[in-house]
Amino acid sequence: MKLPHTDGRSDVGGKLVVVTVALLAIFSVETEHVYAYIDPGTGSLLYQTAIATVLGVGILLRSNWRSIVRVFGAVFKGHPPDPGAKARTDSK
Amino acid sequence: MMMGHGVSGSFRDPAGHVFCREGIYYRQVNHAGREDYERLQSSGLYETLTAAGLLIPHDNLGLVDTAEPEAWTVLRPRQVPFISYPHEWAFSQLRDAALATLEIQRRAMAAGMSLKDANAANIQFVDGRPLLIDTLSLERLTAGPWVGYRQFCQHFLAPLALASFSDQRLSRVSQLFVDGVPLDFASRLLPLSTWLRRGPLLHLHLHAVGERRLAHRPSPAPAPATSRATGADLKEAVIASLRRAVQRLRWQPDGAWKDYYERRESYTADADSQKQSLVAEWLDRARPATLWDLGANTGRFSRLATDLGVRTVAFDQDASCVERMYVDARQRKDPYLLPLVMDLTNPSPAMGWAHEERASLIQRGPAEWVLALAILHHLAIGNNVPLDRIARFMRSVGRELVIEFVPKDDPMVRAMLASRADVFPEYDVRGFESIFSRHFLIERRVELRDGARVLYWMRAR
Repeated sequence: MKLPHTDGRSDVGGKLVVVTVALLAIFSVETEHVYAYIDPGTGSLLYQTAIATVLGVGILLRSNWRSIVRVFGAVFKGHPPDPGAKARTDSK
Repeated sequence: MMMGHGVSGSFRDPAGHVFCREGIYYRQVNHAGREDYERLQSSGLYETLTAAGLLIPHDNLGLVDTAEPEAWTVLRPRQVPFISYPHEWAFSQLRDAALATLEIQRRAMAAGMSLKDANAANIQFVDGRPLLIDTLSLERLTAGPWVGYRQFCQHFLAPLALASFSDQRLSRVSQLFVDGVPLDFASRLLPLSTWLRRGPLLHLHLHAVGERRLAHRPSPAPAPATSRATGADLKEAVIASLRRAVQRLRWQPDGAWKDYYERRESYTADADSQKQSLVAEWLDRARPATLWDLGANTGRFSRLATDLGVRTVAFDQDASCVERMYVDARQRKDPYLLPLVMDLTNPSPAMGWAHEERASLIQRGPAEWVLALAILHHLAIGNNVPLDRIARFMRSVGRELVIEFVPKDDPMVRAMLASRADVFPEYDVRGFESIFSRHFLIERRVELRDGARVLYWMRAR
């Protein structure tokens, strides 16, 4: 199975997801207070917090992709979880 | 006693500033910067970064009697041989500087510190490698987003993306914006197809939208100390994403001049090798400490100097040539060559606040030696600059000059004059010598074997 986001050129679906989530995140974030001697830009800081969240979630999804697929496979197809999948993930 | 004039490019940071005294540059650390400076040392980060060739090394001189009450100590950094500015760099130089900045930030975060700005001018090329020269740019790592993010995108990603996806010449717009290319401006200039590329999409296009849409949101109250995790982890994700974005950017050089030597329309092979051995011989005799090669092309003559250990700045207006020189020097690990994009008919001006943040080209000289080979006709005939003005310019940038006179019957000059009136009556060997003799003493004069071009070695009067 092909992991998502491993091929930046052909992964249009992945990009659409990133765009959508980023756009949603832009309008829903709060950021922490930062102090800087240069003006980091309030808008830029809030935006960065949003994409950091998206990127963080991306990393989380990528590193746990097999487990997620296994769980969803079990839910939608009614198969019992494949015990081999976890072993393959661990040995990666 | 340590008083000296401040270097104005460094006045923004309350943690300290650079000053110059008797030609030596020092960095004053104020009490406001003491804690971060001590952390830089105690965390081992200074050691790590200087050993990796990412941060300029310095000696801490201690507080040497200063009239300024905010001063805590004075550092004497390793001196940078020649200060260059990002708009003078070729694509790969800016790209390497960007990657160096991200690598410094990555290592800093691992040591509990972070860059508090990401100004491209904080990077200088020393021994052929990009080096952070602002020791006070590193501060304690705190939770929350990276404060250098916007600056990084404006100073590095935007000009690189413009060069890569639109037109290489657009990377020079950074000369117009002292704090980097505005993101909405870059976003508008980039082709629509870049909305489908993750790096430009996330860090330029959507960043520009986000900046505009979120600018007037009230800043929330200070975060509680429990949010440590959101700090480092989220910063790391952003830094990793920026690195991927920079690494994917490419630019393939092209240009009319870079095949010049290969074509050699203007030279017989004999005259060419004679010119090369003359320059090599004179250089070997003089062994100057610094040399500027004006119109360096692919740097063939600069190589003669750097092979002798002469610190050489090779200027050319063709970014393709500069790119090629840089990539080649990087491959050879040549520590003496600094290639830069410079149009001699419009050299870099003094810029920034009160014209003092960035020095003009002439202010950064003079060099001990100037090479001006096969360039006179471009200035005098191609650009209608009178010979006396060329001589005065050469006098202002160097103490000794090796210059080649290119006569009117040279094929290149004939091509230049083919479709225009010859309004250059003084342009012949006699006129050239009499005018340049007002400013220089002619030490050597050798007619090249093809019988047309003449090579001179001159000393400033």
